Amino acid sequence: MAPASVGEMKRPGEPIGEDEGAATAAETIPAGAAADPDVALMLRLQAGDQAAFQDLFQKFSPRVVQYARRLVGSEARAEEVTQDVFVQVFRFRHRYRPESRFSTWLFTIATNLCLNEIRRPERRLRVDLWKPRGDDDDRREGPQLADPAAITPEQGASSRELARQLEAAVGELPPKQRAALLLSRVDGLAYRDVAEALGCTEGAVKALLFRATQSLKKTLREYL
Amino acid sequence: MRCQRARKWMTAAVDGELSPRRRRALDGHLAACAACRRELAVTERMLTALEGLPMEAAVSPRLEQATLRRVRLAAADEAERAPASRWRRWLPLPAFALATAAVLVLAIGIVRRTGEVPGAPAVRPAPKGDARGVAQAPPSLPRRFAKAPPAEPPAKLAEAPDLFVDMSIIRNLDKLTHFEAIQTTTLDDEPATPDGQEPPSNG
Amino acid sequence: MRRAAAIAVVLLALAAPAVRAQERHGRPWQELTPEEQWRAWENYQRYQRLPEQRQKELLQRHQQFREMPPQERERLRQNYHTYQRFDPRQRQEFLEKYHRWKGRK
Repeated sequence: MAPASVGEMKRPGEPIGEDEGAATAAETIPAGAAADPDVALMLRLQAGDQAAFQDLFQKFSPRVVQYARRLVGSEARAEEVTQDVFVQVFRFRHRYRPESRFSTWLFTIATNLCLNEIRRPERRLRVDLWKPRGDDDDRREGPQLADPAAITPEQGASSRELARQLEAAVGELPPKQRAALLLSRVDGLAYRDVAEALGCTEGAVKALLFRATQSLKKTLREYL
Repeated sequence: MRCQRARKWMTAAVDGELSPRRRRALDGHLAACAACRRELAVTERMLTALEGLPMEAAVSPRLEQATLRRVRLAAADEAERAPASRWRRWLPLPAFALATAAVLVLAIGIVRRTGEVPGAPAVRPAPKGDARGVAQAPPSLPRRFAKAPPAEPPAKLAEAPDLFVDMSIIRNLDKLTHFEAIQTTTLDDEPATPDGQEPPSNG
Repeated sequence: MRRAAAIAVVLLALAAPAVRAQERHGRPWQELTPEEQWRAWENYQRYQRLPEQRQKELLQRHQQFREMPPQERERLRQNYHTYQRFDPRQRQEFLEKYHRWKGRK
């Protein structure tokens, strides 16, 4: 039996599974939350609309993949974690409450799964995992960098080199500092949302960010 | 103001989040402290570079299909565990039998979590806009790590594309407007203050 | 002659909204080069991540920029291209000078 094709998922309105929590979620929508398109998609998903899941995946998977790649340090692992993230979004869809932004909830899941992945015993020994990618790195599974040439067409060679070194330096930060920095400075989450994603206070987030930026400045001074 | 405080405020200053009073205090300190000027310039460049890192990456069809397959399995699993009256409502019997067979067959694959789709290309196919030559990447941009612009841009982008084309200029309007005056400003008429030490008092 | 003048008036009347639209909003998306579209798209994503207050400030500055005479806008573009060609030491120096200059204003 062939697996269900991607196209089958796109029929609007066909439920995926049980929708026990739908009524509860619908009753607790805070004022204005349903106007947020991401919240609206989650509420539709909770009500059993599978097309809503596909829309959420299309919209957010590129960010989750990029975040996971930088946090976990490997493209292959990042793809696996990304799958896990969205499967959890589906499995625990009824736990999502519209009081909180969907992106915050999503990145809370992503951060937890990434940090778990980093802590796995077989990953503990790592050497030079964030070296700039060489020619033979494409075929190897292993930590790889996003190509900073993809950053901005108008930037010159020195900016590309800075970006390359920056990616490497971010990869050397302790995991929680790295997560705080990526969520705040790259993904643009507000401090309170970063705090929620990391399960700590805003004050702790600011402390993580201060330490992270001090480390980066020290490492990258010659490129800045 | 001491350098230590000035440096704590630098990220907020670059982000434009300092109150006007604090900003004036910081500017006053910077006028006299070469070390903190250097530090702020370093902070500014680093934060700008961080913000310039791509937020998104291209998602391969393999990843998308593997994820949707797993979600489909999870949904089938939920349906199987549901009370008889519920799953009968959603799945007619022949379809349920087929779905059960699919669950058994795919459960073996899901344990391995290969996510492989034979013959799937490594990179997502080009967006529709390519047919019109609109959403093409310049040769210097590897498409693997950068998501192509959409053929139909979001409303805000379509309303004022020049704002976003010229964003770097607009973000640095002050610097670029007074470029020549800034270039002729001298830096070397005060002795450099060692990092972390208090600069000469300027009231 | 009268007919030609009437046609010209009609054509001008039809073109006027487009000219006003261009003045108001700039070039339409489809008229950007592929490289400009990539740049605009990347910058749009960065813009989306900014806090609301900063977005407003950028819109205000964009308005100021658009109200400048064309030669002034071109001057700023040239200055930006000059800055882009700076090496890291020159960029660092420029920013330090900027903060010094600003503190003295």
